[in-house]
Amino acid sequence: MTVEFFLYHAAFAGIAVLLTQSLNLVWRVNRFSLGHHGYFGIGAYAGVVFTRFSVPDGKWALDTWIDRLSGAGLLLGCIGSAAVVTGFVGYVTIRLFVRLREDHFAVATLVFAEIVQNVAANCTYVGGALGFEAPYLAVRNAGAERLWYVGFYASLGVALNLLLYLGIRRLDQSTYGLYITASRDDELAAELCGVDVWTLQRTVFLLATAVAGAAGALFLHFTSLIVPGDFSLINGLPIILYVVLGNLGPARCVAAALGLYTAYEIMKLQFFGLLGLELGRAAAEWKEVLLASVLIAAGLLPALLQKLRCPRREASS
Amino acid sequence: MNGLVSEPASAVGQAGADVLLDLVGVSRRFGGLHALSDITFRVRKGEVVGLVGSNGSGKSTLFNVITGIYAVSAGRILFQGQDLSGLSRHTIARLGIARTFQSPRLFTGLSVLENAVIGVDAPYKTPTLLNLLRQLWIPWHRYASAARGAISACRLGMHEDRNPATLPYGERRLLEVSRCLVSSPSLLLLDEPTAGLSDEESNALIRLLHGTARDTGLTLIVIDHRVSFIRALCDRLVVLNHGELLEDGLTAAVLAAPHVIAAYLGEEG
Repeated sequence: MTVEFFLYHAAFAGIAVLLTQSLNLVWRVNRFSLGHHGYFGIGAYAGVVFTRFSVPDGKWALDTWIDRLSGAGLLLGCIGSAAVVTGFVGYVTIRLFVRLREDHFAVATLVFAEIVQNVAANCTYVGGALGFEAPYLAVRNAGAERLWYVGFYASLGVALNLLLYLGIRRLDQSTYGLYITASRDDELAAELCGVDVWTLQRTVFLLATAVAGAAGALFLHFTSLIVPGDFSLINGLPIILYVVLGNLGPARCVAAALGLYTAYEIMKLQFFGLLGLELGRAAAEWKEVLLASVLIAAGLLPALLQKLRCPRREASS
Repeated sequence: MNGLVSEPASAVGQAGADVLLDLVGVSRRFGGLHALSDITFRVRKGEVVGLVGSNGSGKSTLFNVITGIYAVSAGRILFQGQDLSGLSRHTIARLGIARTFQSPRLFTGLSVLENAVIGVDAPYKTPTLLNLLRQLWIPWHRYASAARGAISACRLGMHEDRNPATLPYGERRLLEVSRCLVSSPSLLLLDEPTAGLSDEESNALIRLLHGTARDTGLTLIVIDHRVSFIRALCDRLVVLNHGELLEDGLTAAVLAAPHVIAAYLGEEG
């Protein structure tokens, strides 16, 4: 294992944490979205369109520092524009789903994400089913530069996450943080206190989908090759799991995402293989089953803990 | 309506300029069930009106209709001359109508003080993106002083950091009242505020409400089943029976009216 390996995973973990923080925001306003990976995909494909417009021939020269700096600027522009486009799409979709609540809303967002994936697979402009190969904009992912490449994207992920986390902390310390908690606890009572819950949900959804879009553009340029399957439910499932395990706490969600991502990668590594166990390969092959099992366990755990804490009350009742 | 004790109410209705709430032929149906039928009465500014009736007579439904939880099936509700029909619940609340519920509805994810802060009429309360970005720089503690005043008045000052779920039932009720009072409403609708309160707490609540009404001109409509509480607090009573207005008049006269006794209080009352 090398520094490059750790940075590579730090960059991926950064994208996962961005998605976790944004999905957590959506769930905190009582909007149970299961299609957040769809907005991640929209961000990535908005990034494809931006990149195709900015770099029509698909090649960006990285000969001088000016090339690299302008490439980095282009990358930031790509992330920003993906955020704007995805935020707009998020705003439009939540307005369309205005009457849908709870599991109906969850199913609608899930279907929306499937539509995004299918449209991407059939749209040749964004690469279709074969995918889209993005040019390297700031650093080359080759040779001696590879370490810089993964370091650059890992740093970008950390910086974006830090900004988002501090923003959410700030939000929680404002009256809007109180409104978010109040509307999650009791929407009707919050409304009768004068809180415009529907506008709050729309605004938070817009912001959260914009962050998912930014994560999508970051993913596009980090992996430099995206295919529609990258934005499938099975790849969105870990994010849902991180939020469930984080129990809607902003810091807990980040910790759950980092912890579980690391645990899974450690399993995939041949740490256990060194001991003669085949857990690494099994973990990769049984990823879906593992995730679903942890998700079910996470759902059952609070009830189990409650039962363990007050067995007498349970027994007496 | 019998008309026996309705004279004072009519007199109230004539004073058009200081009418705060005007219900004109308000009806609410749930399928074939007429929960409210042609309810008409007015409430003046600063009045304390008791709303009584047996279970299922439509008292809470009337509160739900006034606060926009249910739309009216027929009729109009005017608040300070403005028609409330079609307005969203938060808009009605911001016009100055606050309410409590039969079972206290508190925000258990927030502390006692934070619950009260939710009621504060803070600027930028509509969470648009621009307002949200503005509000990011203003910590909620800035609005805490008004909230502290209200929870202290309800004798909850020592519990401000506690989770409301851990409070005794009576104190949860008081917290809900203080959350309403902090928004400085023009009209406060109290749904069974003394349920779960001891006599001492009820008396304290009467003093608080009387004091607030005197100092701020607050108008109250109170649903309660404790006749002693209603008698001590209310100037006027509106009696509902099976969704219809049975009587409207001065408290003492209404409580003594034979048909009200028969329909609501019972012969022993």
